[in-house]
Amino acid sequence: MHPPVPECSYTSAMPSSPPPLPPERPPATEQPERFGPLVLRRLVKDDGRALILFSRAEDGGER
Amino acid sequence: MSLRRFNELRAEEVVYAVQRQDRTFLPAEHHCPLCPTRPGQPPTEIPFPSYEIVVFDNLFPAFEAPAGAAEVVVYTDDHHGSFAALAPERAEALMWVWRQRYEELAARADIAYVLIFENRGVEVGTTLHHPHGQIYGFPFVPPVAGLELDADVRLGGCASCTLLGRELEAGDRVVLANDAVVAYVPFAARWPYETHVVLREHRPSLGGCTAAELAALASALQAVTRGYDRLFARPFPYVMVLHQAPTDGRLAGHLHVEFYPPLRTASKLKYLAGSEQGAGTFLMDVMPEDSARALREAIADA
Repeated sequence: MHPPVPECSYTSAMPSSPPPLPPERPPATEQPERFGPLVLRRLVKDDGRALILFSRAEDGGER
Repeated sequence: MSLRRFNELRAEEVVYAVQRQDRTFLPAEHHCPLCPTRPGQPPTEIPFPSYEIVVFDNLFPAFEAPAGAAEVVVYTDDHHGSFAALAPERAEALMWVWRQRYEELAARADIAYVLIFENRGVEVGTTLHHPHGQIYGFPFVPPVAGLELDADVRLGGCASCTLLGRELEAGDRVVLANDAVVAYVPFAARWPYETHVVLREHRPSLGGCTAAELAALASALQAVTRGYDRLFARPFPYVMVLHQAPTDGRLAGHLHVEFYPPLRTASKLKYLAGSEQGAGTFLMDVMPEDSARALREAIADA
């Protein structure tokens, strides 16, 4: 069964609205995180941009 | 910061990101910003001597907080690789990276749609040869996603499910199928070798996929791209785009991946000219059934 399809109008879905609230970015952390079979490390570059290193977990990780 | 203007005649947003005018353009390999930073050499974007997969904020963003996001996804530290040439386990890991980025960006209030894509080849405008893709977090639902939602309404249910059923019934445009994924040249393809890779089950996004489905998707995408490279015995340019549910709260969308390759022969490009740009009507030089047959054979031989 497919989920119910919401009504959609492309034109009405695209107002030129003002910017919403600033996003919350997960902080840089020394502790690696797990995501499925991956390990990720969050870093911040010298100019403030975010960088995430992804690698496969040695144990294969939870899926 | 990018600016948006609404084009009334086309009923669409136009994004002005003038900071991108000076972005790095086809640098020599030893100046590649996506290669690892090697000892004694100037730092690249990635300050490590090796890596598996890296995601970082684009230095020349089309969108940025607090009105969207633009990220670079680097598939490998091998400058000469390609998505098709990734080891299968790396391609599968990339599916999980895409999923992680989709879910994290989807949670942001300033992002209404997450577009994951790859431009491969100078023919489609790539400016860095190092294997990579990009992610745009749109602060609005862009037109193509909106049209897909309209198609759901027009067809009275999930359009992708309906079209997948039609393609499986017809059969002659299917180029690849496994337990979880089907790839076909669509009935009304707009590019000579346009291919859609569609999940059999209704999954609005990568986030709803099982691990087996992600593995099957990676395998199918690699098979299609290897088939492309085999087709004309040359690196095959394409635009690869993941289509997923908007992230503005609507429960609609069906995960699939669309390829828009510009080649119509080994040396001739399909251009968007008068009819396509001025009328919005694509003119095609090849029937989808014929290109599907050629691509199916190329995938089998790759």
